[in-house]
Amino acid sequence: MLVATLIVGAPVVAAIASGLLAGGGEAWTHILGTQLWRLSWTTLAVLALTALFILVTAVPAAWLVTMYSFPGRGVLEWLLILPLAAPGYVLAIAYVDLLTVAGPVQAALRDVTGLGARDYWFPDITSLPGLAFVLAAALYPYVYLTARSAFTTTSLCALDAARTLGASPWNQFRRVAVPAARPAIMAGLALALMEAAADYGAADFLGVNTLTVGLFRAWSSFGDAGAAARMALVLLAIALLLQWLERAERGGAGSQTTSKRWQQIQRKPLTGRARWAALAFCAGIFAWGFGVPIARLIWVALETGDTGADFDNALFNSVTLAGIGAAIGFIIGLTIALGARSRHPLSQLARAAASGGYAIPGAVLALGGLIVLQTLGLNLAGPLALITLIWIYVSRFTAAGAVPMEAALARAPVSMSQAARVLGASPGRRLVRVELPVALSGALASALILFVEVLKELPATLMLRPFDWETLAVRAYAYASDERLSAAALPSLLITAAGLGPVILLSWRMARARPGGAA
Amino acid sequence: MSAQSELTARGVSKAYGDAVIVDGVDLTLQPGRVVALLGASGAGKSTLLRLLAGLEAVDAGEIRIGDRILSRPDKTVPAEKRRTGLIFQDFALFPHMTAAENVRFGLTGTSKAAGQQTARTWLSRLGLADRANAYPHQLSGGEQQRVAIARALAPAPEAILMDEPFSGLDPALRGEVAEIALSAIREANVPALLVSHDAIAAMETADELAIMRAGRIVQSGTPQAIYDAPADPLIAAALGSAQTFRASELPDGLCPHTAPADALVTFRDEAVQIDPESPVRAQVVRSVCLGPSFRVWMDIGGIQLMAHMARGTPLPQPGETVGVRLDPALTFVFAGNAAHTPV
Repeated sequence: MLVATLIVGAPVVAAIASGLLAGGGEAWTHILGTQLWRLSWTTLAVLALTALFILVTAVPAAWLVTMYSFPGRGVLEWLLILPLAAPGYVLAIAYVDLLTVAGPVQAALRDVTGLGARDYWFPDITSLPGLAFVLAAALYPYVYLTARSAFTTTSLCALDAARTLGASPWNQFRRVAVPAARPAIMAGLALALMEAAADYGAADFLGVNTLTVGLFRAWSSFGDAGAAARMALVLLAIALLLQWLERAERGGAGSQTTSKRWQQIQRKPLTGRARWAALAFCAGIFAWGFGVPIARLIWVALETGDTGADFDNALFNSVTLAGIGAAIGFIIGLTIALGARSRHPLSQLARAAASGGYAIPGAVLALGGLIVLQTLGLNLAGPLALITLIWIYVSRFTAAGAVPMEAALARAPVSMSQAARVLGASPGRRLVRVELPVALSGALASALILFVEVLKELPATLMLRPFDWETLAVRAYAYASDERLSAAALPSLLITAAGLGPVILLSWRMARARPGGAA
Repeated sequence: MSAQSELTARGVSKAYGDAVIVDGVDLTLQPGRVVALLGASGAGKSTLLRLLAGLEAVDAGEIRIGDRILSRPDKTVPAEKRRTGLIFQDFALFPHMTAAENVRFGLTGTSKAAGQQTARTWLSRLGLADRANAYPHQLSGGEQQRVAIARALAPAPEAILMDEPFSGLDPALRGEVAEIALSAIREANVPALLVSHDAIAAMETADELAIMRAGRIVQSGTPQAIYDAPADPLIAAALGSAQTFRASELPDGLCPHTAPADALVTFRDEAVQIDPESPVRAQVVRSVCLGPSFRVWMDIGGIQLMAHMARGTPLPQPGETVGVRLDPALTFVFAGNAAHTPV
């Protein structure tokens, strides 16, 4: 348990400490004078706009699929989750390809209207609103999922009451359902914004100078780890604020889902134009977050067949790294989950460290790892770089793995372990015969999520990888930066395809977990 | 089976931080007798149960089975070494094992075949012979609880502890499951403790009651002994509907002669009787027929009484004036500072 806490927590602490203690340095003065405020404001603006985009799409969509029946509802209900599979930078690559002057959308526009490239205004995707547009597309499912489950479980009786009191459907939504679901919506939004703040690939690719981009540059161009750490500190403050918000909002909601009483939702059929409007709205959101960009990438990949150089190697590296990272994260996650269950004295600390790691952008953690190495007098090279990279993966993603495991264990009441105990089972026998089998479904989900998260991770990989050593994510990013979008398509698609695994598993488990189905 | 021993607790205490949850409890459980531990939530019942089971260590006092010490502040025989059967409110069956596998779980040190045989015997004793290969989620709540009981009894424990074992069940099932379960437990002839907050159900199922409040056992004995002589108004009210007044509030003829003015007088609803001879007159406010009995609300000089009486006379009508007396066997006088709800 102590080891687990140290592995997970060290980079977090190092990043914070160095941010606080690092001396000024010329680069820092320069950054502070000219950039820090601008970067911070840009980041906050991106977050605010992303939040706005997410709220106006995900919440109504969740409401529609929960409360009404219309053509395609059943399919859209889970299609709307799919963008979780695609990292933001993949969507950014696809949208840049689609929407730039030379892309198919503007080309078609010119064909239809007969205008020249300079004769009209077209929204620029490589801009701050463009970044928010892309990040919201990738991240809205967090809010969609939490809002949908809140609409499904908590507010039915209140809605019935509202209906008998004469509230119109719009008022039921606005005055009863949304306020009741607000904790869930805010918790989902906080998670989404944590991811948005951590994004490096999409922001860099779209040319928006957020804090994460600035941090990365400060480190790689100026070589000033102290300055980067100071920027990391601002980023950390944002991340921790968001995580605090998520916890605070979630706090009261935990007990709502324990009721075994279940009221079947009677979905109200929509008629006439309303049904097509609902279909168009939900289908449009899916197209925005997944359908259009992924279809475009598939098109590009098939059309060009461009795999870039040395593709197999990158694939092998990705799978190996993700496999090792997932395995270690899994063991540590299991240690933490079981520790929390048996109320191990260190378990609170370990969990805090893990969830801290999850809240903190990968670039910040990578920096923390580098600082730890520096303090120990080690150089980042060869095998040590890979070990450090895996260590950072574990620190960042262990919480993501521990959560499904804790959830699976939580479904099994604590009394079950105690029952095994009073029946004379030793701790080892309890783990093997009772706790692991019960947690099996959660353990599988946890391993899968860890694998995919590591596969998708970009900024830490960029910062820590050995020279010339490539993963799928690095290749997608590097080719896209070189404007070889055709070569970026295939790795992007592979990452997305791998990400579909846990997403489908997730939606399947949610469908099964519905009361009324088999227990 | 060998002769079974008593399970005893002497001066057992447990605190979490500053909160004393179990406070110097003495309790003796005799083999073959089911004792119901009654109390409101937060009274310390479940904690006492966990102390007896060895899931927690005691801060003070000792727990023994026969002459063997199970818990002392400096030593706790852990739950897995204790051979006490524990039955949980939520059943706590292992979801990935069949009913028979669940029952076999505690049967270590025997061959697989012998274990299977024992499991089958216990399942059929609890009326589940045909459900041996079902998984917990395929069983009804009552069946799950009976599997849990078979699982606890199969390893021949030295004592059985039950935490609200029947409260998770449908009320219609509760009586039947309790009957089957408790007769199996009595047959096993070991000490048995059942934690409950439902006094009426406990009176039906248990041989003895132990009433717990704020970490202490405030009264114990057979259900009848406690019903007939409760230690304070709260206990009286817990075992059956009762009304409590200050002696000074009651009219002269009604109040027991022995009661000082500041005493508390508690009487059961059945104690209020209509007696045409009585000098104490009451005005009927409302009256209903409950089938086999009547319930009558009446006003005596500004205080309201409720009577629950067998039907013998015609139903008194509102407005009617009747003579009233209290049955002394169902009327109790307590010191003015006895535990009671506000009167």
